[in-house]
Amino acid sequence: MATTTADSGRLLSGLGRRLALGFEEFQTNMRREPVKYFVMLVAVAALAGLVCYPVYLLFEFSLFDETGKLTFSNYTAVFTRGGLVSALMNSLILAFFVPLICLLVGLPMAWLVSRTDMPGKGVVRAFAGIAFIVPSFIAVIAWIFLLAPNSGKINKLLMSIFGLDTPPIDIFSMGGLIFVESMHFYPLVFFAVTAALDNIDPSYEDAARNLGAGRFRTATTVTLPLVTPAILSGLILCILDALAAFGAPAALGFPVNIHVLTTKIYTLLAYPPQLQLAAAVSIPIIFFTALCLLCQKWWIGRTKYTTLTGKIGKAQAVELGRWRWAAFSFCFLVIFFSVLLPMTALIILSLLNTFGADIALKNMVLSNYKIFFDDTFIVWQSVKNSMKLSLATATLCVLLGIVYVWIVERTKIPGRGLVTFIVMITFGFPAVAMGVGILIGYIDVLYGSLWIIFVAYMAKKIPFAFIFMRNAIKQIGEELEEAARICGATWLRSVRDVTVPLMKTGIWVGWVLIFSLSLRELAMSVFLAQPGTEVMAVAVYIYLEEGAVENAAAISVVIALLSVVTVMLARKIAGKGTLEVG
Amino acid sequence: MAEVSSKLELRNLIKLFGEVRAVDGVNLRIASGESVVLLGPSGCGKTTTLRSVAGFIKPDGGEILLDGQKIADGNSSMPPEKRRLGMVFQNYAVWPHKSVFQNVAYGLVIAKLGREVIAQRVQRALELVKMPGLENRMPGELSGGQQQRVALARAIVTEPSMLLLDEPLSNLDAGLREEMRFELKELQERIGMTTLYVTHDQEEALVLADRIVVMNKGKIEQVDVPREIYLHPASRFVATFVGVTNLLDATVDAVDAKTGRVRAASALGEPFWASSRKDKLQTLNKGDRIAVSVRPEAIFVNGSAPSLNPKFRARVQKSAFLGNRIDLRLDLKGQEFRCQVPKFEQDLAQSHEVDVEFDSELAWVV
Repeated sequence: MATTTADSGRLLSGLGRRLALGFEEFQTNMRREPVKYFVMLVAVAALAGLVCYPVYLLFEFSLFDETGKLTFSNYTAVFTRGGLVSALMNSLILAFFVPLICLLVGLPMAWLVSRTDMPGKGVVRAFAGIAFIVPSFIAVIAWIFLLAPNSGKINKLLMSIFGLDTPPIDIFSMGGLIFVESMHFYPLVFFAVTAALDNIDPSYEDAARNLGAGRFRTATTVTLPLVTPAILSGLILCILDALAAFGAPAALGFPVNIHVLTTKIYTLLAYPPQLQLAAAVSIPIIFFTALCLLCQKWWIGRTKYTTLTGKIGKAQAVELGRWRWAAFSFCFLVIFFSVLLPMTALIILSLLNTFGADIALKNMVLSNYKIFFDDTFIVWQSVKNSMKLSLATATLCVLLGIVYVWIVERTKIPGRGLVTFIVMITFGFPAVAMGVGILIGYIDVLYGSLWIIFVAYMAKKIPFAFIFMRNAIKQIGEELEEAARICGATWLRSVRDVTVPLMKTGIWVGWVLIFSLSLRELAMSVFLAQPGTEVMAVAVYIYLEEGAVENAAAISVVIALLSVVTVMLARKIAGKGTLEVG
Repeated sequence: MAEVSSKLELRNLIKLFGEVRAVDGVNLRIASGESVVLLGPSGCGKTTTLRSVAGFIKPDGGEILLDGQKIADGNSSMPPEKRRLGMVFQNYAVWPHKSVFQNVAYGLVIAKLGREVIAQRVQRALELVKMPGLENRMPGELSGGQQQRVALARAIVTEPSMLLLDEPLSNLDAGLREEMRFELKELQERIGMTTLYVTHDQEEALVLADRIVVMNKGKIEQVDVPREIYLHPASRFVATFVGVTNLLDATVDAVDAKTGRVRAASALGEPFWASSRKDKLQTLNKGDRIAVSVRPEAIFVNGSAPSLNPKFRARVQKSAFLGNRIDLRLDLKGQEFRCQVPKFEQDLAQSHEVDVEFDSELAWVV
């Protein structure tokens, strides 16, 4: 620590000198290998346009009012205006209860699947995966079908069985929202914890059992504390996703005027758009996200949690004895409510001729699926748009990802840590906030075209590409590329002949995943799209708003199917189990 | 006499990593057809020097000349692909997604040679490294030793002006390593390729090199043929790094310029005679502090023949039976000395007292 001004001066000048040396080296390198540096420059410029510019605009707009005066009134409005305050409160309620339920559900499930001899473990893992892959706003449609207050099938069933006058469950409520989101996000905790538990050194537990601790005690006092970082990561992801979710809160909240921050942003953008307020509402979410990520980094950095000691012994499964089937029933219940029930309901709904009809074969038709092929409906156009956008996004993200990863992992350019930081920023942003930034930034130039949606997709998906490409390139020794250079290959050629082919798996997995995620994107598309530039998820949303729920269901089934198929494809390419969360 | 132009010349080469001078003013000339080994511990700058010659590291000062042409200095550096060098990497860097043939042929493909020429030259290269017939195998199917040969074939097939090898044998197991040492040396001599090796294994250096360059902390400590490096080390570092030695602090008692000998007075008691280089001898005066390197083979234990040097009394601290010899650690006036005796000559156990004397030719002033 610099204790005198002389010391601080020396410190700063040392830093300055290093930076100056670094930039000098950068300039000479640039002159020596122009192609390489041109490519990197273009990529970094793209990054600035995709991320830095919209983010900057978000902050700028939140600090000015319509007349252009610097003010904090937008922020105070968030905490004083009735509608905004209740939206804030609801968001916080979500951010608290959803992770809580995810924990209560996901943690026992993870322990049961990973550390015990419960039957049906593979089934549980598979269905937990599906619960996460299928977007929540799609599951919501099924739940509306089942638990809408008057027409919901389960409500009607319960009313007839128990002779009730009023429907017992109303999905259009905070409780309903919490339930739906929990059923979608518990896999975050589940997979994070199973990944950690699968790799635990079994001798920790053996030692406890040896000393006389029973199964349950060992689990709670030894096993679970060892995976605390994983639990925390899963929880933090739950909190962030619950805060950032748009589809489910929109579908369940709008009809009964229940708002959360993300849906409030959406209404603020309806004509006439109040961009300043929308920006100001986005900022707290962003800060909260950053705070959570920092907390996680700090907490996990504090203690030593190395459990991967290299000795991955075959762990002894805890014998549950007579609790085996009870355990499975618990897991089955979760799977039932998170996947089996909603998916079945969705398929049935998509086959019903009208929403209110009774579930009977005579009412099942395939006509709802005709909307895909009938171009008087928006669906066909939306499918084309989704395909175009997803293909372009996946491809370009992967290409840019390779360049960014190259800059970060293969060069010594000063400031490349900044590239990592900027690329990863949008990961933590709620999609809606990102969309607002992009809207403000490119509304004059690109509004009304697919391009603005493309920019939004790119900005939000680039972190995925970066992560996958970085994992891929880390496995390639630099010597492999150097050997090509010595043999006479230019830098570009060595990338083409050696680096890219060896990254093939990572490239494909990344591409497929980004394609899949783009295909079902809702939050940004819903207010960036115009008539003619809708995407599939937006088509679902529009049909839902209009009340054509069966049509919405039909599209949803297709989206769900596409999602599952693409993820299975990615898994196949990747080998085994590389897609677990956490 | 006309100056023979060297294949590679390093003039005052400097490379900095932050504040650390990794290569600190290295001057070296390598003649065509010569095999030179950069030898030193980790961090001495040998790999940095090699990679600067390869073109992966850009110098901060000095010059690199290849075939008389400047290829790098503090301002500019010719990219690796233009230098026409061959290189074998420590981990072989054989591309796993290409077959053996495609690996070896890569440089020729880039040079846009005809298909038949390529096939011919690849085959010849594989024969040279004793790997004929394995063209269609994938590297994943090959052993470490085989991959290394493929890497070697790939490096020489383009007939580069010079061959660079970065610790080429360190990843092989011991038996294979010894075998490959001789094969590499033989191959290098057969094709007459100028080579620059980097290694930290001094035995390897002694086998492979026409000349050894001993490096330490970015600087060259000594450049010479292996025999001279071993017998006549120029500094404490070279004496201790190459081979085993016992270092003794002493002061100059007398100088005999005619025979090239120095009488050294030390804590052992009586002064003894050691040898030195003629030019170093001239700089020595009575009373100067010196260090004497006494290798194990320079120490006679219980020797019978009278010699120039006095006998010192020592006690055996440890003796280890090594099959063909006994390794001894002696306590000589409080300092530990290592030496050896042939097994069948004497049977020496702990606490035995012995007479030792130093060979005046082999004891060397560093």
